[in-house]
Amino acid sequence: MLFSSTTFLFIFLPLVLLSYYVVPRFLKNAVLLLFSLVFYAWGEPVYVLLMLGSIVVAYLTGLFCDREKRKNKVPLIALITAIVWNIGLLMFFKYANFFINNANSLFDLNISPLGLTLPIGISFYSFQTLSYVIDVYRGEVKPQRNFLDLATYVTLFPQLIAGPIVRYQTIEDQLSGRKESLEKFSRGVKRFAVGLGKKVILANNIGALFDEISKTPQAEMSVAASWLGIIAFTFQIYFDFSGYSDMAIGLGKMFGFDFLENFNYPYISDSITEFWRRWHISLSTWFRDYVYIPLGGNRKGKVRQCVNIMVVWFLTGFWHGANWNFMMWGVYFGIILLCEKLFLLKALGRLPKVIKHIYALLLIVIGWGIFAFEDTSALIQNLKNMFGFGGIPFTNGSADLFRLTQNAVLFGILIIASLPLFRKLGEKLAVRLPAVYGCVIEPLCVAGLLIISTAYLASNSFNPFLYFRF
Amino acid sequence: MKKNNGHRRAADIITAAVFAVFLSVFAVMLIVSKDRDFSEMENRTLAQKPEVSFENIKSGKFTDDLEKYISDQLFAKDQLVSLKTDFDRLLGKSYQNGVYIIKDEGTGDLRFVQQYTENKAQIDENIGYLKEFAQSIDIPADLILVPNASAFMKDRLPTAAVCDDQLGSIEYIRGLVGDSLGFYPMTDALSEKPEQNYYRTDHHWNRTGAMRAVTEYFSKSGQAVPEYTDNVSTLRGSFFGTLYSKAPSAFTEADDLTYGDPEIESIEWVSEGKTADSIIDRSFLDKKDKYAALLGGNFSQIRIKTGHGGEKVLILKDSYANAAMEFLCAGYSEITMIDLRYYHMQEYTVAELCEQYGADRVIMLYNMDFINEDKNFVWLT
Repeated sequence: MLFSSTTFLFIFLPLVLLSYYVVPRFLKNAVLLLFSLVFYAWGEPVYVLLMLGSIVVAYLTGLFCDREKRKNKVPLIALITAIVWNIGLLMFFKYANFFINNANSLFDLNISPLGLTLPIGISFYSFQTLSYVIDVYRGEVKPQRNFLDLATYVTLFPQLIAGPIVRYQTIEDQLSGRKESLEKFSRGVKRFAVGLGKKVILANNIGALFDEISKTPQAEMSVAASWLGIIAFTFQIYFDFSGYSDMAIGLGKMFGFDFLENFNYPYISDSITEFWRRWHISLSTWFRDYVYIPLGGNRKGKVRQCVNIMVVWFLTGFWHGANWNFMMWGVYFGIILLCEKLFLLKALGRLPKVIKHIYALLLIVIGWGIFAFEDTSALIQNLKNMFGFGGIPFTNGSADLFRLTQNAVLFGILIIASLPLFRKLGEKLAVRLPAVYGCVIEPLCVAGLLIISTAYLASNSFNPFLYFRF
Repeated sequence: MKKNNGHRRAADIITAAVFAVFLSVFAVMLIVSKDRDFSEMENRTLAQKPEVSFENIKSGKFTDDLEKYISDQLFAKDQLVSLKTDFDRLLGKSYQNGVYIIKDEGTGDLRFVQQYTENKAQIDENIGYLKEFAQSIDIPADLILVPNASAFMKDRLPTAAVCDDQLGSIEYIRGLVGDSLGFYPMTDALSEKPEQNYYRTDHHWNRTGAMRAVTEYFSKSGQAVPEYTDNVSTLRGSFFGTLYSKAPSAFTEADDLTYGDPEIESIEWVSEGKTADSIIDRSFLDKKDKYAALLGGNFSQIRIKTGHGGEKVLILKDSYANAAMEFLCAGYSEITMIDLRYYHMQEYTVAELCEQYGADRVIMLYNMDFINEDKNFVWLT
């Protein structure tokens, strides 16, 4: 189920909220677990068993991973079991077809693909259960003896299918001792409304432009159109994904949870290093803590650090999908980050801020040009088009101008919404006119966002979800 | 300090209440309001409550059906779609769903103009079929080609609007037909004050446009211009046409539907086995698709006996012809209308029918969009 669907908004959410707040404390996690399972089973009921299997594995390996209690080889074996299970699941369900197809074409084999659909959210919950077991092994958290609590953590529907990747240590205490409050609930509502609006009003709307341009036949393309398309995608993916994270964080708050932030205005970055500190934070910190640092991080010399960076970014790319373009995308950023680390940041440091900002944005947009096309030949064609090697005119005149004028206001809003302007305005108003702001302006904005989002959902014209396949 | 906490709490209560009201209104209305079977706005049947069964749940069919049901039966759906349309207009999107939304000069009323993208291959094919047919019969054949609203409103569309020139397509067709048939493009008849000739909310022309065109056809083709009926009625302010449905702005003024109801001897819907004595089907005046009051919509074969003198004509037509029929009735004694979208695999080919019927003349009445897009002309062979 998607948050941005009428079924979620008007059936699932009222039911789960109502049930959650009427049951006594000791049943609250059970209610969340139950609804989360329904949420997950929606549309693809069978894979819920797979997730339950993952929870059992995490529970048991977690129990046996405690090195304080067991001074023998058992914790290590448990850890390895957990790693093999989770990576194995990902390999089998997410990557097997990719390897089969490539082996087939590379070695001229004829292995038939598995014909599996990707279990929703598997990339997220595998990483979460893995982080839990590793943290227990490292002694950073205690093993969770209450199966129900652990299952609630893994299945928690706000973050189940598209993150953020909530680490067990973040909500360890909240699982048993969180406090819901009116204040938290209302903050959750505001956050959810903003996220819904970002996804439904902004991302879907500009996504339609990217969709239209990417379907334009090559003969009618122009350099300007290919840039316009990829800039549209740049906005689409940010508002889609960060909107989804906002909704997750907001929903979490409605049930008393505090998740960590996942985005922090990534498009205001002045370097790619900064961009990756602001974009999908829960993923980059996951790779930092569970891959980069265990590999030795920067403690084993410059060469080793460079290798580590490339490994991490290759894996980050590949995590996004079983496709060459995602790998290329990861390696692309790996190389840029390496250059920045080695010399580029120093060189950039002397330049004016505007130049640095243009530098970062340009590389980010080109990166999305790699990310957006799973089909390698379409990807190459688009890059050629963007840089004028596609044998197409710079502009198609009125067709390009029309697309621009029809979306000009939307682009303006997208740019403003990518900057922390609204937040600053809100903070100012909250100080100057606390009563009016809190009691009138904010509720009106919330109501407006909810109703307009519902209007877009009712028209049902274009509601894809980019992070579904991960 | 205490006061400060006071309005913070009030603010939280208000925000939470807004959310609670929002969720519960839609949830409760979904449950208590009566399910609709059919949406006139979308012109389709709506999903109904899904069947609960283990099989359905396991296969995921149940959840799919439930989602369709909820989205189809959503409370205030039509109003929400209008809100979306107007919000998009606020964002400067004057082109939505293949339709340009412009304003009439003077009145400021919204007008919906369909985008036109020339498809030469289809035009070639369709005109080819018409020519072939005209040459296979030994009675005069006339093509009345009606440009759509976009032909005359190109300069009023939004900046850089993408819309091909219909007048160019019409000249192209003039070249194609040569003298194989009588060619009567209605560019002159409709170019003056074009906003009078087309509905603002529908893709059809209206009575005024049809009258101007048929009159020009009669006089240019050397036929006497007959006297038209004065039994004319107007249904005011309630017609929201097909183009409106594509982008239903709440700020739209409804169209008036004006129709003439000439005295005739009989009208027969041949395949349906139905007869009547009026070309107007008043039952549609209460429905959304009011244009269908003219002849009751489109049918494979309709035969009209007017009860007065004149030629017998066979008319190959699209829905534009329905508005023209009132005036054509005045000029002829008998009319058989064939709609190739429905006249498939019938007992007689159109040519055979034409001969049997003993027609004196064939009139082909089509609008430009139709010639540009329709794929049913092949049934003419």
